[in-house]
Amino acid sequence: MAASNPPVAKAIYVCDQVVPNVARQTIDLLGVFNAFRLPTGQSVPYTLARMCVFVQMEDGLGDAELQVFVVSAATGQVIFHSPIHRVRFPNRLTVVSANIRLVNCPFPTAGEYWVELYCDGQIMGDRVVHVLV
Amino acid sequence: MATNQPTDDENPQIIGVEPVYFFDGTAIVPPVGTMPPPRPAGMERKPLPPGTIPGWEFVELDGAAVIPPPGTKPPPRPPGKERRVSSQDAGQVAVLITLIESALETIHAALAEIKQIQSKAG
Repeated sequence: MAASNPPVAKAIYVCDQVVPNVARQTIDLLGVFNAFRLPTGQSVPYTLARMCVFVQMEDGLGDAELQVFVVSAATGQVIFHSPIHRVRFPNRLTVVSANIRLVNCPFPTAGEYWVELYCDGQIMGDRVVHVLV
Repeated sequence: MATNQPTDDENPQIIGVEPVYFFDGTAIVPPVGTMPPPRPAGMERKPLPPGTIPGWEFVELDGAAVIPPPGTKPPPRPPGKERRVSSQDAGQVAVLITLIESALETIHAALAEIKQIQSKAG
């Protein structure tokens, strides 16, 4: 079921790791990046072991489905995507944060990719990630 | 001891109590040629020119908090970017609305009474 009011993404980050700091009740983003270079000796196609897409949303109401698509800027085609994840907005003032962690992310070529975040099938925002060789 | 002054490495006043979801999953590779959902107007992307090096800048901005003169307002927000009052303020507003509505009812009742007296006198 789609959210009765669509949420708005206030911030989207692509990073290595998102760590909940339980003691301080905060969330720590580690290794925020918009490009990565292949390790020495590696070539494309390259599989990035882990990638996190962190988003903060508000103005939503009800249940919503989140999904990340990674799109090749050169072809406009989806290279890989996440499973669909469900989040709940108790009211429109609540800021809901989500970390979508993906493992084994295949990048077929070097170049530009768009990390797109969708909510209930509508794009909320995106980040550009470059794969450098 | 908690103070209003953050230390070098942490701010003891920070709290983050909103809901946070952590999702884990393996990247799913769709059939070749799969396109993403269409983007709405204004959200289109075009590839950067070939050879463009991605920009990466990190700026640390330090400075003491500046206290403006009392009554200073922020720049006006464009349409669609307005902020509503927070839930706490909304509660206070609701109380004020109740008071105003109650006062209006009293005024209406008093007006009706005045009109009744006027009609009797007339």
